[in-house]
Amino acid sequence: MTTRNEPTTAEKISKLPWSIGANAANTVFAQFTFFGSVFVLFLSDLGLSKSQIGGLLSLLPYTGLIALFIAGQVARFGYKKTYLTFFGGRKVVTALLLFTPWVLSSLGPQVMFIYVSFIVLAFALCRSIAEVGVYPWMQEYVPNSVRGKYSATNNVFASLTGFFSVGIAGFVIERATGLNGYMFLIGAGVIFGFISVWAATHIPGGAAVSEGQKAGAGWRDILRTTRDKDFLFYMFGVSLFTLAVNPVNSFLPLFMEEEVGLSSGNVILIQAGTLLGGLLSTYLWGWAADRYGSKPVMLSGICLRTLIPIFLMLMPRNTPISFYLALGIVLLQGIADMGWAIGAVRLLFVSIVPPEEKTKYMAMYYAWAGLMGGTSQLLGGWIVQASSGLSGQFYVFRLDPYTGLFLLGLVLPVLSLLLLRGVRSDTGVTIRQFAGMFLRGNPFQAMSSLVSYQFAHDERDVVEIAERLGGTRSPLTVDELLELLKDPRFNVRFETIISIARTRPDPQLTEALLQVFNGTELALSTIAAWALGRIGDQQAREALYQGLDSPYHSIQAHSARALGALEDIEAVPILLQRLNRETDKGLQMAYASALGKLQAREATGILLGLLNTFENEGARLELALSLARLAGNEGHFIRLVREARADPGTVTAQAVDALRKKIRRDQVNGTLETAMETCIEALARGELEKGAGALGDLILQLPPDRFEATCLVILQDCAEKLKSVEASRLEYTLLALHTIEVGWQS
Amino acid sequence: MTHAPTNAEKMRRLPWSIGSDAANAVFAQLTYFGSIFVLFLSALDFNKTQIGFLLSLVPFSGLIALFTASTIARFGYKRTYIIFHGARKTVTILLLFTPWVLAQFGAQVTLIYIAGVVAIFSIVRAIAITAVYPWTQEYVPSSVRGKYSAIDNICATLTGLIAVTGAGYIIESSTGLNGFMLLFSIALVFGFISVWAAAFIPGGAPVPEDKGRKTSSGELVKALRDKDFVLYLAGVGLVTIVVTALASFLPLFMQEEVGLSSGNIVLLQTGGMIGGLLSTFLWGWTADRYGSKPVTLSGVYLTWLLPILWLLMPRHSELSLYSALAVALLQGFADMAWVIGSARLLFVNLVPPEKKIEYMAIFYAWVSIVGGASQMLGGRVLDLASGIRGEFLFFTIDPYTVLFVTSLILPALSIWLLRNIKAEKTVSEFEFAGLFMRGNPLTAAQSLIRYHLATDEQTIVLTTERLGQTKSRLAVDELLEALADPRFNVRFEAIISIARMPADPRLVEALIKILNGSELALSVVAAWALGRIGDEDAFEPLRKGLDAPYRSIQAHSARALGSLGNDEIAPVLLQRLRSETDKGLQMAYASALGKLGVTPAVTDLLALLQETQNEGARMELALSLARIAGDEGHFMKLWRQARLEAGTATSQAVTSLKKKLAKKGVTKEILLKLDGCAEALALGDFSQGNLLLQEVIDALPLEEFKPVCVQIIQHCRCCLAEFDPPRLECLLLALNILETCLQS
Repeated sequence: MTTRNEPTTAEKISKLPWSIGANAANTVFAQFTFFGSVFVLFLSDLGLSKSQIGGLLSLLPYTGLIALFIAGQVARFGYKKTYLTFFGGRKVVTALLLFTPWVLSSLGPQVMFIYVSFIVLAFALCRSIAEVGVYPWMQEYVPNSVRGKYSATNNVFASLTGFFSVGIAGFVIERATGLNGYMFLIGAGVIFGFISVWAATHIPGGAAVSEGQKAGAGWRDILRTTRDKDFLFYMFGVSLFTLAVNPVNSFLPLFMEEEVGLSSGNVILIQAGTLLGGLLSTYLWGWAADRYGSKPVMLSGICLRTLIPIFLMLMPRNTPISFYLALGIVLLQGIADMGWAIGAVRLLFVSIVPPEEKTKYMAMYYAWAGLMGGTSQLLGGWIVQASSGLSGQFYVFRLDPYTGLFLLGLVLPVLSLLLLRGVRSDTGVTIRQFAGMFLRGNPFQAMSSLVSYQFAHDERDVVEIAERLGGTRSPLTVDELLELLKDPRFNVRFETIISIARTRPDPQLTEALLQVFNGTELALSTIAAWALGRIGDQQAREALYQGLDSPYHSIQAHSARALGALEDIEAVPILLQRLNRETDKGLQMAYASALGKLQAREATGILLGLLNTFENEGARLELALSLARLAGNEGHFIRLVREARADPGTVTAQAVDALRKKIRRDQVNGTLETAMETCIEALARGELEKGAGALGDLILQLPPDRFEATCLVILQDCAEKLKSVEASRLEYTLLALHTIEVGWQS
Repeated sequence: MTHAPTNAEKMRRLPWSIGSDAANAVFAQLTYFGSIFVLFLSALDFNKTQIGFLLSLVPFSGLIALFTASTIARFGYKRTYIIFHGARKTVTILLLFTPWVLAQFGAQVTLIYIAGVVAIFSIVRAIAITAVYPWTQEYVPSSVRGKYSAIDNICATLTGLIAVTGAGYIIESSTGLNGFMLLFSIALVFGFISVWAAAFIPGGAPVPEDKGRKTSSGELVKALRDKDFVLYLAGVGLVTIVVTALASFLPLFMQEEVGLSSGNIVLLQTGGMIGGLLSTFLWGWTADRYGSKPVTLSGVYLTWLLPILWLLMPRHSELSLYSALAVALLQGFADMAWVIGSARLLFVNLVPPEKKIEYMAIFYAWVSIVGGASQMLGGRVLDLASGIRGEFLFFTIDPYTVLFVTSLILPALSIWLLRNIKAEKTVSEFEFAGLFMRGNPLTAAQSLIRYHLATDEQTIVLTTERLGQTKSRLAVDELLEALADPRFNVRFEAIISIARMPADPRLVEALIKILNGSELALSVVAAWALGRIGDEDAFEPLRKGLDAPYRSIQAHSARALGSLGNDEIAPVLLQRLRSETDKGLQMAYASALGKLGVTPAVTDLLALLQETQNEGARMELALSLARIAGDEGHFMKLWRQARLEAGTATSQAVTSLKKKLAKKGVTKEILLKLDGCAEALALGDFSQGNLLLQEVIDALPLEEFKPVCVQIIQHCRCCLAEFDPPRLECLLLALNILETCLQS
C-alpha cells in the first residue's frame, strides 16, 4: 500500500503525459544544441580542431563525477526541485551561445574558444546536477506496472520530435550561410527547452527526503558499492561499450562529410535514420525487456552494434548511393542503440541496483558513466587527430583517420559482451533463447496479433485473436495465451486451449494446461486432456495417468488417447488391463486406439475380438486401423481406406495385383497365382463378397513362415471372417490386404 | 465369353493412353495443328483465303461423323481408331514431297496437291476421332477421369512444349522449306510411336449388330429437341468460331502487325502451352469438384479478355514479345479451362449414355462445320479488310481489328447461352470465382496437396489444422473427408478446423451429424463448433442437444445457442436455469442468457452470483450481467487492468465516472465522495474505497437509471456491504453498470 504523502499510482499515471511532453520538447532542445550533429558542425565551422571538439564534448560527461559529492544534498533539497532548478538553469546558459558570433568577431577565436568552453562547462555542470535529481525521481513517478509502456511511448514521442527537428535542422543548415543557421537553431532550441521545463513542473513526486530517511551517502560509502561484483562487471561492460560507441557517434558526422563526401545538410539528415531506427524499434525493445528481461535485449543491442563499424568501413564513398547506404547503416545503428539503451538502463534499475541502496549505486554509476563518457570523447578526438595522416587500402577496407575509431568500435563491444554476459539477470532468458523467439514461428504475425489482442474486448474478436495467437506458433505469444486461459468467458478459454494445443510446445503452456486439466470445469478439463496429447509433451504423463482414474469417462478416454499419442510404452499394461475389464464402448475404443498407437502386440487378440463384436462401422474401421498399426506401416492402410471409399472393388483388386507381383518375385507355388487371379477378377468386377471369400482362401494358401506371429494371427482371423458371413465387412478385406503387404517377408 | 475390361485393368493400361497422346501431341504441333503449318502455307505464298480454305478442310470433314458412327461401332472403336490413326500418319508423309512438287509443277499445282493431302488427312482423322470418343469414354474409369485428364494434359503439353520450342529454333535457323521438311519428318516418327502405344489400350471392342443402334435422322432430330444440348451447341459454336479463327490467324497478326519474327511466333505457342500446363490440374480438379459449367464459363470469360489485350499490346517494340508471351500465357489458361470444362459438361451432364451415338455425332459434326466455317470466314474477312488502317483513341486499327471485335461479341453471347443450361446444378461462376477470393487460396491449394500426400496421423493432423487456417472454401471437401478418417485424433482436429472456417452449409450439416452421432467426445466438440461457426441452421439441432442424455452436450449446446444470438431459445434456457441443480449446467445456461441479453434472467443470475463460491465462476456470472445491462467491452477492459493492479484500475474507473457524473450535474457531495473513493482505491485501501462507493450509490438519483441497472446496482451495493474487502466482481460490475447506464 502506498503512503498518503506519496502520489498514488493512479495520480502518477494521470500525469505521465506531462513527462512525455517534457521529454519530447527537450529532444528538440537537445538536437538543436549540444547533442546532435548541429553542435559538432557548429564547432567545426568556428574553426576548432578535432582535439578541441573532443575536449569540449568530453566536458558533458566528465561533469558527471560531481554525482559522487552531491547525491545526498540533492536528495535533501528534493529531486524535483533540484531537477527543475538546474534543468531550467542549463537552458539559460545555452542562451549565451547566441552571442558566440559577436564574441568571435569582436574578441577573436582564442577568446571565443574560452567563451564557448565556459558555456559548455556551465551547461554540463547544470545538466549533471539535474540528472542526479532526475534518476530517483523518475524511478518514483513512473509506476512499475506501466514502465515498459511508458518507455516505449516516451521514446516514440521523443524520436518523432527528434526526427522532425533533425529534418528542420538539415533544411536550415543547408540554406543558411555562416553561423546564422546555427544561431537560429540554438534560439529555437532554447525556446523548446523552456517549454520542457514548464511541462516538467506538472510531474508529481520528487519530494525532498528528510534527514531521518538517510537518503544521502558519503563518497566513501559510494565507493564501497564497487565491492558488488555484478555492479562492477556491469560498470566495466558499460564503460567498454561507451568507449567504443561514443567516439564513433560523435565523429560520424565528420566522417560522413570528409570521407564519404556527403553535404552538411545530408549529414544532418542521416541522423534522421538513427532516430527512425530507434523509433521503429523502441516499442519492440521496451516490450521485450519487460517480458523477457533486460539482459538479452541489452546484449542484442551490443551484437547489432558490432556490425556498424564493419559496414562503415565497407561502404562506398563519394558515389550517388553513399547517402542511401549511410541512411541504412544509421538506421541499424538506431535500432542497436535503442536496444542497448533500454536494456542497459532497465537492467541497472531492476537487477543491478538494490532498491534500498539506490542513492549510492546511482551516484557511483552516474559518476563512472560520466568519467567514461568524457574519456571516450577525448580518446575519440585523440585517435582521429593522431591518425590524420592515415590513408590506404587493406583488402576491401579503406583506411582513413577514422579507421582507428571503427576498430575500437568493433573490438570493445565484443569485450563488453563477454563481461556483461556474466552479470545477474532479472530473468533466465539467454540471448540465444531470446533470438530464437524471433526465429521460430511467424514473428511478424505474432506481433500483429499481440497488438490486436490489446485492442480486442468483445468475445468474438478475442476468440479470433486467440486462434491467431496459436496459429503463429511463435514463443512470443505465450504470455497472451496464458492470460487468455484466465479470461472469464468460457468460449475464450476453450479456444485458447485449442490454440495452445496447436502452437509450439512450451513448458509454461503445458503447465497451464495441466492446471486446467486438474481444475473443476469438466468441459475444459476434457479438452485440456486432448490438448496435452496433441502437444506431445512428456511433462503431461503423470497427470494423464491420473486422468485414467477420473470420475468422468470423457476425461478417462482423452487421457488414454493422449498417452497413446505420447507413445508412452509404460502405459501398455495399464491400458490392456483396463481394456480387458471395461464395458463402456467409448472407453473400449479409446484404450484400443491407444494400444494400437503404442503398437502393443500383446493386445492383438483382444482387438480382434472387439473388431468382431462392434457393430458401428466407423468404430470397426478404427479398430482395424489399430490392428493395422500392430502390423506396421499405418500409411499404407490409410491409403487403402481412402482409395477404397470411391471404388472398393477396383482398389482392392489393384492391391491384390500388387501383392501378386511381390509374391511372384519370391517364386512361390503356382496355385497361389490362380487363387490371386480369381480374387482379382471377382473384386475388379465389384463382386466384393465373392472377392473377399477368394481372399480368405488365398490367405489360407499363403506360406505361414513368411509372416511373423502378430501378422499371422491377424491374417488367420481375417481369413476366417472373410470366408464367413463377415465377408461383407470391408475392413476385414482391407486389413487382410494391408497385413499381407506389410507382413510378407521375402 | 469376352468380358469388358475391368476398372483395375483399365487403370493399369492408362499410361499407354497417356504415352500415345503425348507422342501424338508432338505430331500435331509439328504438322497440321500448330503455327508451323500456317507459316509453312504462308511460305508457299498462299493467300489468307487459301490458307483459311485449307485449314477449314480439317474441321469440315467432321461432318462425316453423322454417317459413319454406327459403322464404326460395328467395326470396333479400337480397330477403327488404330487403322485410321495410322493412316493419317502415312498420308502426312506426302507433305515431304511438297518442295519437289513446287519446283516441278509450280504454285498452282502445289495448292491442289496440298489441298489433296489435307483433305485425305482430314477424312481419315475424322473417322479416327469418331471412333475415339466412345472408346475414351469406355477405357477411362469415371472415378479417375479428372486425374487422368490432368495427367494426360500435362504430359501432352510438356511434349508439345518441347516440340514447339525445338521447332522455333529449327525454323529460325533454317532457310526456305528445309526447316518445315525436317519438322514433318520428326512429327511422323512420333506419330507412329503414338499409334504403337495406342495398340496397348484395352476395350473398344465392336458392338454386335443386336446391340448396335442405327443412327436414324429421327433419332438425330430428337437429340436436337434437347434444349440444354442445343444451348450448348450454340454456345460452343460461338466460342469455336472465335477460338479457331484466332488460333489460325494470330501467328500472322503477330508477324505482320506486331513485328515478331517467325521463331518468336512459334515461341508464343510455348507461352500458351505453359499457361495450359500450369492450369490444367487446377481446372481438372475444380471441374470434378465444383462442376463443369463454372469452369467452362471461366474459360469463356478469360477468352473474352484476350482480344482487348491484343488490341492494346505494344507493337514493333522491345516489349512486344514479352507482352505477347504474357497474353499467350493467359490464352493457355483460358483454352484449358474451356477444353476441360466444356468436354466434361458434354460427357457428364448433357449426353445421355444410352444416346451417346446420336449426341456425339451431332456434336462432332457441328463443331466441324463451325470450325471449318470459322477458318474460311476468318481468312475471307482478313482479305476483305486488308485495306483498313488507322487509329481510334489508343487502339490501332488494322485488318485484324474486325476479328478481334468479333471475338469480343461472340463469347459474350456464348456466356449468355451457356449460363442457361440447366443440366448441371452446381455453383455459379460468381460463386466459383468467390472460392478463390475468400481466405487464402494459395495456402489452401498447398494444404490440399499435402493432405493427399499425408498418411501418418501426425502429418494428417497438422494438415487438417492448416486446411482450417486457410479459411478457404476450397478446403471444404478435404475437411469433410478428414471427418470420416478412421483416426479419432484426425476427426477431432477436423471438427476444430471446421469450427474456425467460415460458415458452409455442408460443413454445418456434417457437424450436425456428428452432434447427433454416437461418439460422445466428438458430439461435445461438434456442439461447441456449431456455436463457434454461428450458423443459424444449427439452431434446431442445438436446441435438441439441450435434451441430450449427456450433460457435456447439454452445456455446450446451451453455450452454442447463446453464441448464435437467436433469442427464441431464451425462455427455454431461463426455465432450465431455474430448475437445474448441476453447477456446470447452471453456468452454461447463465452464460448463454447473458450473451442473449435476456433481461428477465437478471434476478436469477444475481441469485446465482450470490450463492456461487468459485471465484472464476462468479466473474463469469458478473460478465453475464454486464452483458445484459452494461457493456462487455468496458467490463473486460476493467477486468484486464484490475488483474494487474486492482486499486489503480478501479480508482481510474471511479475518476472517469466522476467526470461523467459532473457533466450530469450531480451534487458536489457525491463528487467529493467519488474523489475520496478514487483516492482510497488508488492507495490500495479497498475497505475505505468500498465504503465510499456504497455511499455514492446511496446518494445517486437511481430513479433516472433503467430498472435493470438499478436492480444490479442495488445488488452490488449489498454485495459490497457484505464483504470487506469487497469481492472484485461486485466492484467491477458496479463500476461497469454505473458507467454504462450513465452513458445510455
